[in-house]
Amino acid sequence: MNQEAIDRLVASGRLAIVPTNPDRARVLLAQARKHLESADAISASDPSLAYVALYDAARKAILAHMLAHGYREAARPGAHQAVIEYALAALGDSAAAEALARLNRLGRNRNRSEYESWEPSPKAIKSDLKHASEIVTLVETLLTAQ
Amino acid sequence: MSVIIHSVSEPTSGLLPIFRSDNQLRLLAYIFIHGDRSHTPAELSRATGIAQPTVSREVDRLVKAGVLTAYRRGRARMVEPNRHVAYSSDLNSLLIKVAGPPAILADLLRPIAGVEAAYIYGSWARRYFGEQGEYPHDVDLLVIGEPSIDAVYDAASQAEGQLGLEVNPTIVSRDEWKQPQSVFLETVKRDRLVPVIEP
Repeated sequence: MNQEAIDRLVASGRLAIVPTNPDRARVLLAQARKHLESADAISASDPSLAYVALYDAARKAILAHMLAHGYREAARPGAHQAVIEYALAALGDSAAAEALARLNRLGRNRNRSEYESWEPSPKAIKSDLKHASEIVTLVETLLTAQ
Repeated sequence: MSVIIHSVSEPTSGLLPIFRSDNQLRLLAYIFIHGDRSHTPAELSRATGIAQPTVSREVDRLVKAGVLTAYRRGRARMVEPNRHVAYSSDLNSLLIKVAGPPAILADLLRPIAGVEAAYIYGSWARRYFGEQGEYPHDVDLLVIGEPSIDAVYDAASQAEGQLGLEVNPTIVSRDEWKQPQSVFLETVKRDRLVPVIEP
């Protein structure tokens, strides 16, 4: 955990310090797991929604990690980016490092799914679902061990 | 009374209309991006798809202005960027940012196994073909084949570093491209595409 980088995010007002909330963290993590299953289930019939689901799964897993450690993203523009930066600072040297390094790309694709007419191919969904899944599994392991 | 025709009208560059023509921009971009070597007009014509007489005319104009330098190797006339003018590195950077994506993406995608073809579509392609408008904030890249998705993402990220532009890839199989099953791909297929790697 790169605490200095997290402290910088707090100091610049992009992350807020909140009381730790393990119950809410567990709810978010359970939702993240469900989003992964949904993404997989609808990948052929509704690829753009599947992509939104897989990215949200990764994002909610990170939010769960944040809550369990007493952080949340500040309500201001660029909140998604702050979550990604937190993930890289908190978990960047973990087993899911490669998946985390791709979060920015996943987030960008998610926006293309949401706001443009973009649609990912089944292979792209499968590959990116694997990354999202690694992030969710990592946070599940870390929070269970706590 | 005589009528003097000063120039045959060529379309101005839609990507950046400060260049006198789209051909001039494409030619300069190719010469600068591949500035590590010199080129004959015939090679330039083959690489850019611009007719050789047009290439020779443009090269003459640019050599005279000092933008390019030319020398003889045997019977062949070789041209390369003139690195001795004060603005050379600025022009290089401008050309890469404005017209570099096909060249840079081709170099990065070609070594990836499974890439059968690649094209630029969307707003960058429309500017390239002369549609006027704001300079695009990203490059929409279509990759056809069965490459590793991550390898294509990595190439796109590397290109972003070189171009100072977002590169957003979409990777589809040859069958998905042949018979699009989505409205999105149908739309892309109707677009004019800038070739990056041709099958």
